[in-house]
Amino acid sequence: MEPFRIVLALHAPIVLPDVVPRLDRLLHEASCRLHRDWSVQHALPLAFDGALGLYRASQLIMATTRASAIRAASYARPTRGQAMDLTVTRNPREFKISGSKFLQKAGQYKAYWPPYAVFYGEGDGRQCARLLQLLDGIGREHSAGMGRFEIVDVRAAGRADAWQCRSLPPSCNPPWADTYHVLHDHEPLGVFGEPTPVIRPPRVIREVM
Amino acid sequence: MDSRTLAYQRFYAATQPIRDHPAKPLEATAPRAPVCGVCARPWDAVEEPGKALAYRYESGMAYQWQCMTCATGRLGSSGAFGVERYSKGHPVAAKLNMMSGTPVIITADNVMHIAPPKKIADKIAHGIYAQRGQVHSRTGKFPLLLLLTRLWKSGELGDVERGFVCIGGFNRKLGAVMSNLRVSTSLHEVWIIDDSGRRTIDVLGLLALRDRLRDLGLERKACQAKFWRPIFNATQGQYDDAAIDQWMEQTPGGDNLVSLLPTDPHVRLEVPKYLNQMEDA
Repeated sequence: MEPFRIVLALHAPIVLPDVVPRLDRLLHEASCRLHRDWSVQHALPLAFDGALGLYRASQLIMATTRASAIRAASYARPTRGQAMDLTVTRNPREFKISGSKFLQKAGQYKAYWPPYAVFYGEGDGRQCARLLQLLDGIGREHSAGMGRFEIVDVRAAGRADAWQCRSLPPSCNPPWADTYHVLHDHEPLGVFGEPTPVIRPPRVIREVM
Repeated sequence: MDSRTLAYQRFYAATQPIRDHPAKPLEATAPRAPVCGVCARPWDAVEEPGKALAYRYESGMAYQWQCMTCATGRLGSSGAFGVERYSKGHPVAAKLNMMSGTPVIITADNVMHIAPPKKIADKIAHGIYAQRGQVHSRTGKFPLLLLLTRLWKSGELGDVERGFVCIGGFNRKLGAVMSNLRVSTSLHEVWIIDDSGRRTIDVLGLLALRDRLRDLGLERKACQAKFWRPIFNATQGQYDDAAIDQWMEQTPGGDNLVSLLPTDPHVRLEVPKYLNQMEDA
């Protein structure tokens, strides 16, 4: 069980969901796909922290290089169209976002396109990378091609506590408290479970490669 | 309580005058759908359990059952707002949904503050909200930050950690706004809800940037996007090394300014707009 770092090269922008993508939750989704069973909690190749009750895995960190910043991208999709009865969208070809009677059912979403994304964790890095490759993409709309990635590097992490860059129980004293503002929120700490009070760093975090 | 439930409760409490003085009597019925069509909460979890208003976009389309909280934005109320216009001599009451480009802030004490354009503000000047002093005058095109910083400085925003709701504007997509409500509990991460979903801005970070620009005497210049051109080009995917080096040389304290810019590229591109809004705050 070693601290590791996985670097993903991004081929499409990421649409951030409400809970920022986190390595343990992504790996769990990948395990579910591997076993074709979404009803049980699978064992992950990550170290479990019994005291905190969570897997040692960081949230998504956007990595930039000297020559490329986090790029502002956008993505258009129906907003409430899917919640309306089917009869509402009588003719899908009429569906426009620029302005029509469907205007109120479509919207533009803000997406982020850094050149790389980084996850930190503790466990078997190689196995985690193999599992992660089962996913089409990360973030919202991954099935529509958003957040497509390719794993370019897996290696030992420089710092052992780098995985703590994520939501933690409020009693923790996180190592990132000097760098980022400590924000209070409600999020599930584990792979499953109800939202509980947590402290977390900002949603968009940058790391220079 | 989680940030979503709290936001709906705050919205419901703050908009009570609209439901108390409806232009037409409310015809609440028992819902014929498992959850509210907008916020997707089950009927026992909404503020008025088991009560719904049927709504359809136009005749021939399917009905949707909306909870009283989500439907409030569509309800006309001449008592709460006033008369919006006359149609063939009959008064048409103003409603939240029709106030395009109007930011709304609901404080931790469940008080709704709105900053409509002057045209709308004149129409709703005799309503309950205006008489209570919750309708604010505004300058500029995007007055949300102006309203937020004003309320914060005057203490009307209440205890920020208890949570306040920040709505960028209703425009035409009421459903998109109402399905995305959530509270903000820190000025370092203010959730702005509008018809394109939710986004966050670091208001205190922007104020720090504004103060630094003021120290450097660049406040006026920085309100224009062209001042930031090489930085913004990089944010939009066109990185020009030489142009950035030149900008750093020409701009006093350039390194420091870039480190103060928001990390979020979407907020970064809107910095001139936000600096304009905070001018007299």
